[in-house]
Amino acid sequence: MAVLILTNTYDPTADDVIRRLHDRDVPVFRVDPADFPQRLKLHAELDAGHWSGVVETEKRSLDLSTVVGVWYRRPRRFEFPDGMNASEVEFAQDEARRGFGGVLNTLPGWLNHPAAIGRAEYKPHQLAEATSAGLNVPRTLVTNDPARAEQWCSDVGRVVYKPLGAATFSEDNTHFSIYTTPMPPTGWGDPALRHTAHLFQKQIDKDYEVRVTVVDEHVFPAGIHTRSDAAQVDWRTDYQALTYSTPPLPRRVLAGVRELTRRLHLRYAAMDFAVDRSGRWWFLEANPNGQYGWIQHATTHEIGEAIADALTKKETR
Amino acid sequence: MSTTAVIDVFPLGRGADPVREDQPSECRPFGMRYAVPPQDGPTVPGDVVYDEEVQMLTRGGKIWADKGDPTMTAAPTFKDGSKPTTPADFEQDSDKEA
Repeated sequence: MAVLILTNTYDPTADDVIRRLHDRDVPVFRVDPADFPQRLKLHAELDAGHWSGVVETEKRSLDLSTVVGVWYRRPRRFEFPDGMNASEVEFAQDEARRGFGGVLNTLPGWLNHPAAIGRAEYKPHQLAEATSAGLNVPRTLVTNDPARAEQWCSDVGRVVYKPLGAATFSEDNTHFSIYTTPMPPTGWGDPALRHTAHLFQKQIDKDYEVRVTVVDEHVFPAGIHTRSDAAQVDWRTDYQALTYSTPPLPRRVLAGVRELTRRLHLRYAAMDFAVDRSGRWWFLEANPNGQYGWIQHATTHEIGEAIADALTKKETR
Repeated sequence: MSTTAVIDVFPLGRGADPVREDQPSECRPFGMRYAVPPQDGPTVPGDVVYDEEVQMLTRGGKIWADKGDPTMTAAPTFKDGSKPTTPADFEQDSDKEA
């Protein structure tokens, strides 16, 4: 039995789980795809319908037939020799993805399967599935039509703008991020909306938020309470202003969480909810590869232990 | 889950965002107006190094990831896995509700 962990070397969250696996005497093979092909060898052969072979670093070797779990954490892209030209890198990148990635794809026990992550990260998809799973989802619009956007926002009233993805970029030698932002009426029909897709959502008058972390059958709700105006809008903007609790999960929400996880083909998810002043729970998003370390510390939820459990049982989802 | 699907997305791992000198254009998408420098997250101390033998970060020769250590369980996230001398990343989680 062995567990394969795909992540970069500066990932303390992975370290935490590796320690737990060591405590269980489970062999761990930690590797960053960025090491392929320069510091990592793959040698695999199709044998009776299964890929058998090894993945090797200078220090250790992994027999693919022993793998029972694969944790897709924070892997980096493949890296190639500096001397390659652009076409060579492009070719090598694609072949590595289909060869290295393709062989690993056949391994059992993914947490989560990268295909499931890729699909679940599309917000329109997850919001639709959340609704089908019985969860409340705020009214949401995706558009690049300024006139129709203005009309929709006018109908809804209080509206926030959210990026559809992680929304990070670099400009003028500075890194930037885009958080959830309340939209004043002056922005509702802005002509610049036409330049790409934009997501608007009805603003929830929230009492507090809840991060629900799911690991297989385990569900860990963590209430997030804010003490600043910025964090009230988007708690990522002011971590220092946050306090945590462990609220009970309403039965209907729990059922919806389980159903959404199933629909998105995920074994791990970090879901965000807003609880409004009347106590109604609103699904905001599911992060199929969201961080959980700080929640574990703040709440004493044994999320890392649940992940170690999940990685050591053979799953094929 | 089809094989094609995973090959299309594997690996999702991202490289570091390149540092660019670009300036806003006349076609700037509306949403980019609301960009701000990300909040600095917890960082890995500079003397923490990755030890290939134990496959974990170590500090002073000792494994840094004691279970329950708040520094360890916090979420220093670096898109490229680099040391914290580079611009700190923030959570990949896309967004939250207002």
